[in-house]
Amino acid sequence: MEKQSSEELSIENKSAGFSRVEKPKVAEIQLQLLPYDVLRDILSRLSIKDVVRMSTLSGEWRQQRICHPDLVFTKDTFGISTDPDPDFTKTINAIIRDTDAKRASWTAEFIFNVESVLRPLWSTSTTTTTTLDKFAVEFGLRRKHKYYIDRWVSFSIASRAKHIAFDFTFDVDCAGPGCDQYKDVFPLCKLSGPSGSCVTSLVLGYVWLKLPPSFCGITNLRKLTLKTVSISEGDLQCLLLSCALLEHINIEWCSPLSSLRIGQELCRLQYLRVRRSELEMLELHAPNLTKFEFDEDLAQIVLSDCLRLSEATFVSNMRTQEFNDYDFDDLAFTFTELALPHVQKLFLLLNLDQVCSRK
Amino acid sequence: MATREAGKKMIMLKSPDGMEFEVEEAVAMESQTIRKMIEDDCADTAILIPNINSKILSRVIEYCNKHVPTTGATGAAASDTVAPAALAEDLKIWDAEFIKVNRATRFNLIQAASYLNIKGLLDLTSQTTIDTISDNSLEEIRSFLSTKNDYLPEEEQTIRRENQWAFQ
Repeated sequence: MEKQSSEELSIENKSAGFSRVEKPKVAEIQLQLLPYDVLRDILSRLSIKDVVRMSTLSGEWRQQRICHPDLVFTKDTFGISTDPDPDFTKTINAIIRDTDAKRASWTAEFIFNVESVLRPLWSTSTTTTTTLDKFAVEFGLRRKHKYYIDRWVSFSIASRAKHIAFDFTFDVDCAGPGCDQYKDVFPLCKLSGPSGSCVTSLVLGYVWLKLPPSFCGITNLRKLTLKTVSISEGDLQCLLLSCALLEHINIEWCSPLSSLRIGQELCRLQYLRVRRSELEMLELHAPNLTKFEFDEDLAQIVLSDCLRLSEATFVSNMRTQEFNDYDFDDLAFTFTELALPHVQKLFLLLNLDQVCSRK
Repeated sequence: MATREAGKKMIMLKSPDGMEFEVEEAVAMESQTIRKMIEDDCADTAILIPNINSKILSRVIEYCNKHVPTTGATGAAASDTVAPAALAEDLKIWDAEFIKVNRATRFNLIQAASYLNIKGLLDLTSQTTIDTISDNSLEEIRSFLSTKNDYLPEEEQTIRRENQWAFQ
């Protein structure tokens, strides 16, 4: 304590010395002297761009390896323009060729920039002393970019990030089962067991998930979001069961799924959202589930023992469609087997025409 | 300073240079660090605040006094008659005045706000630093952070090229 107070005194004196030559507008601050937590707090309020600029101030600063605690990389982080701006005087094939070339060019730019931010932060090729709160990549990356995706997943784990997102749903040019070949097989094994024990929330988009035999769950995962993810029923079941602390699950546009039946209790689960997936049948035992959201894809639901389920929301997929887009026959929906005995509030979000036709 | 009223619990804060400050518990609890000490019953006599000298501590108390929620007796009259929006506006003006200090004081206030965990004060005191870094050229930031450009010309060129997006 004594030492600290004398240190503080010297800072005082130093700063007092500076104040005599104070310029009226720009005041000096010796930021490096701030405790690590305060510096981190200040950095977290700046943009990644500002922090990168700051890290290049001098060799001394560069060595400090300062880094924004939330590394969120999107096209906007780098100001990359991703407008294909097609030249319609050309033939359709030429337009496709042009667009592909542009897509390759902006992806290359994105990768170059992420790499340049991470380069000074690696201590060796596999370790880093940087600690992060969040690491997110939101861009249209595919299987051919596997080398970088794997590296960045390793970085996010090595930097002990709590929130990790690899969402490649941006600029999806190919959807449906035939497109699995373009999706990266996400290296889920890197998050398994002790190495991924910092991760509490995970978002994955436009990737293929295949559970390796050695996968033993993401120890402290609380929140999982899967968007346009290819995953088999067996693997999804395994994934949900192996992450024992899961509280929040969001599954949208995932395939190929037809049913999800988990006999064992998911005792921590509080929130479940299943939308726009091919999942037709759902059977879960989740005694602590309080909120549930679903749509008409899900024809059969059995949520037994969900004594705390207080709120269920049904969102019709036809809600956003215009009157001319559908046949009247499509409008009807029936809850064939809806076992939600304990729900206190049921919200129905419907298309106006659906409401009228029910009368 | 508000006069001491019966039934209002007071807390003694001590700075390392030996000064003592008697403040209302509610005011002291604006600091999450002190709140935790009080809640954990570690604060029966006086709380020594290490690292924060009396000059800075008195300014911190001044801030907390102003920002303590006005449900208590101190601000009751004001909050009955003044709309919340006007009160917030008044606080803003007060904050702007409060932060007109030299950089040494501001620097110490940042440290104090961080140690005592007073979010509002930390936001207020670090905002100038944040604004300077995000609004100024590299040269101006260098002078603000008293950093010398120690690169060789070719080194600087390489770093600029690699991080070109950040300089656009």
